[in-house]
Amino acid sequence: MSLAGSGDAGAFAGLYDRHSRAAYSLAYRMVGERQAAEDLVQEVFLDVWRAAGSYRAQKGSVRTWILSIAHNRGIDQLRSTASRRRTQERVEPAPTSQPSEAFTVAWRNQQREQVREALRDLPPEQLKVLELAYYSGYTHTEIADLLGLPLGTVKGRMRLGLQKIREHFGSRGTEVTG
Amino acid sequence: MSARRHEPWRARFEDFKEAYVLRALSDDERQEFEGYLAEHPETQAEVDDLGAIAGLLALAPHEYEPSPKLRRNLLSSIEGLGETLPAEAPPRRAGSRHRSGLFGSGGLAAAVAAAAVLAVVGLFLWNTSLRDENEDLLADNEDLSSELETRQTYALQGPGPAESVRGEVIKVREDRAVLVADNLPPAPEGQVYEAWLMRGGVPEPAGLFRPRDGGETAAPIEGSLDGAEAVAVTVEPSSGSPMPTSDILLSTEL
Repeated sequence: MSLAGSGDAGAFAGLYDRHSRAAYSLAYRMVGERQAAEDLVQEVFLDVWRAAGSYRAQKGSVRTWILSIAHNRGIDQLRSTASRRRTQERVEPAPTSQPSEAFTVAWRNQQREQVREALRDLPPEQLKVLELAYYSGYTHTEIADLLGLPLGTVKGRMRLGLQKIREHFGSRGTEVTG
Repeated sequence: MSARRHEPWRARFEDFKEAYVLRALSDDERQEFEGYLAEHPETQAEVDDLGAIAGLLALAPHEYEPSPKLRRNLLSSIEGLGETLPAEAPPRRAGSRHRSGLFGSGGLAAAVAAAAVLAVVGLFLWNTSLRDENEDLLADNEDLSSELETRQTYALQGPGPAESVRGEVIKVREDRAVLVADNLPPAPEGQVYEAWLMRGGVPEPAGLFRPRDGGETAAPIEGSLDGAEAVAVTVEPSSGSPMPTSDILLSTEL
């Protein structure tokens, strides 16, 4: 990371190889289109290139840092684009069945699977509020309007949802790391 | 509860903090909240802690691989890279063979033979009422019989409404497999089931299918199971999708 921060292109390429997949997956989840997701990821890594020197390990892992840049850019894009992709489909109630573990079966790191497990354990109404906020870029006021709920209820679901994710990790003795 | 929690700013902080870490505040609200943070730096650790929880959501999406073109474009746009461009990243997973379509290389005769193999295998394993007919076919083809004897099967499973579905992926040869299932509900109108091969965490389309009346299905898997970690099934638009657009209905690890 420090090499990338000092302008080492090879180190930067290594950084990209390690984290582009996660950044792209998040971007794709947010914007819903491959090209738009790739454009977003390109901007993210250009930000990383420009700001790598300012990265501080005590603020969290490199992955967390890059994903936070991706999330913030994704939210900015969703909110600033008049043609933002917010279809009615996104606010339809969550299916009664929990998301399958299918694509998570084989893959990768334990924390990723734990996160998915934590989300599966959430009540659908809490999950929906978190998804609309985090992935779709809606404000809590907009979510209240979309779902026809009092704002206080939306805030309460956000609070409970995050609490339950924390408890999920706590109950397994695993630490939430950045 | 401490007295300071009753201070107006604290109530506002408590009211906004979850939405803040989820980026669900309006711009004005966010500025207001960050004003609180600046005035009360002792709250920063609490926000950071909550932010770490919210940040976990970034790990949850299904994983997809960006195109190699993105890497090239990105690196070429980095000033000063020029001749020092590093080589393309190696494949993330070894053994990801070039896909060979089920009917890709053997010509029409092979395609017909493969179709017969797959159809027979599926039916043979699946519907006992058809077993006699299948056995007649099998008797005509010793090679086919040997394939059946050496087959590998993987049980398909799914949550919720798919719990009642019984299914298997049957590997007939190195490059041939068939998906069989029973009690599979009809796909919603205008939609179809799509099989996926998971390779290095990336889903590859592996064929479309619709169950027959009664929910029976015998569908060829398009693509080799070699190097794949799993087979999954989703519901997709009738023309299929290049990437899954719905939750997984059935899956099996290979």
